[in-house]
Amino acid sequence: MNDQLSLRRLGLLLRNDLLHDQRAYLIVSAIIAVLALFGPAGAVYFDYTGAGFYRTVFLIALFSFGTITTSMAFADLHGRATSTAFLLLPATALEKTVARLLMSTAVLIGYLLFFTTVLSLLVEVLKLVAFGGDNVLFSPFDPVVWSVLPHYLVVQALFFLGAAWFRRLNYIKTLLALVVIVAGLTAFGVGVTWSVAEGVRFEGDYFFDFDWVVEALYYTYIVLLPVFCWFVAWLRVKETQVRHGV
Amino acid sequence: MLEISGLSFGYDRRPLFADLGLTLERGTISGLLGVNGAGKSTLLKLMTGLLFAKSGTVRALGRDPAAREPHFLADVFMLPEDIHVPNMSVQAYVRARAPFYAKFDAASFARYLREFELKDDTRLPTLSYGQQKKFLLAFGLATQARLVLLDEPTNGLDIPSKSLFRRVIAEALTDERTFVISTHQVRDLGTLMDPLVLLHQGRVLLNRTLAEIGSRVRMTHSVSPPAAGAAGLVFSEPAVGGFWSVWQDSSASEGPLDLEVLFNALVTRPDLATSLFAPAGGVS
Repeated sequence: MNDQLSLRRLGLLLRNDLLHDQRAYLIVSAIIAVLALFGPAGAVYFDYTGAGFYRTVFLIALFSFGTITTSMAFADLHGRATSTAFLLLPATALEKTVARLLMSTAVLIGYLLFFTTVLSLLVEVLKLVAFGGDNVLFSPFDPVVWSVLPHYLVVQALFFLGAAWFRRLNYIKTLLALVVIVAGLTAFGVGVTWSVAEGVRFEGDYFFDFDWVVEALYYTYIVLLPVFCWFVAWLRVKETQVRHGV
Repeated sequence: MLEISGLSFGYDRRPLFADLGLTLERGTISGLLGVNGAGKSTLLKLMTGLLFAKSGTVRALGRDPAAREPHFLADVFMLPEDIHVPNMSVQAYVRARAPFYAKFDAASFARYLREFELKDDTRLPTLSYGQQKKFLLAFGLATQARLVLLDEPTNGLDIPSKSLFRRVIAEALTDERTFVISTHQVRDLGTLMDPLVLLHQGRVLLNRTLAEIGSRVRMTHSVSPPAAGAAGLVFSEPAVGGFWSVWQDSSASEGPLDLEVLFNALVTRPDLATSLFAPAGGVS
């Protein structure tokens, strides 16, 4: 494409990361498999079976594994001994950032969709053989699942920025930073509302359409926030020097 | 090949280099020497763009290393002092990393592995520190990078590996390639490094070939100390079985050099770097 973003190098980076992370994927797969194998017993007890069960398994795996792996996306960039290899790998900072972004979004989501589908098939076959009765598989095209994915991307973007920004304890520090930011924004919002609303009386036919404000806030949350976080993460990676890891 | 001029750099508020200049030619194995904290590792990092200069210019292979362009990075290999290998096999590492280096020579890599007695199905974390170092060196040499920077490469190597290391590096040197070796182990690598670059107190104190040094300096080992004020004597220090003495002798004919003694002489008396190599008739 250009000097900054080559699809060939991006592909090589993804392959490099996949080869490096395959153990982590195997461990997570094993945990999900155990959850799915033993989960149905509890699910039957609580009368919560079928597609809803696998949807829950998928979403729990996505949000837990997704945020944990995302918060470790740049662990090698911050390590004293590992940063040299990361920074000297022949690819641009943009490519390295995009590769890690894809690993914790498209690759992870695709893998979990595929794995949960295959797992539901195996578990339901076992259930059919053992208990008979109705069986419902997980659908990777489940509209409920897809409606949640944009929200995962928002959460992922916040942890991605935390991964690039903080050197250690990225997960906890990101959570703490979010708590502080949300508390600050809430206090600001309450303060503004208090001062603006004080003395205002809504009488008669007075009507103010808040729909556009809500819509603007929604798109800020769902589009601008992730893009902003990814962009700042890229700047951080671009400017990182090896002594940041020392 | 490598040009540094007016380089200033420091950590936080502690300056390390001020207006440092250095030129290294291709086809050489430069030895970068200096006391602890002189900035040898830092200078290697500046040469590869791992650190950014505060001011001045660094040009390596005709490029600015701080830009970290992929084509530049594919032509540079650095073996840091603190090495790390990922949790994968030798084969997987090569499958993952080699495609980034367009000139990677798989046949050379296999040969280096044989020379270093490493197997390609071994998992990297199971190797000893010295073996990991040899593996990374084998990979780095196989990339055919034109600029190879080695930071304390013989630390952790056993005695046979050190001599093997010297041979492998000497064989890997081509007219297009430049090696820069930062080391304290001058006795390990003394026969390999030429020219010698001595970093001291934030500047390049010496950047001379062994031939230049040998033609200006004579060293002698004696049981008793030389007479104080003897003509040409510039430095003397106690050594095992007597004394090493350094003599200024512009008619010296490349006699044996003990780099450790030379290093001690220059660090003790930095003015020697100027006076020893001044052109005939004055100090440059």
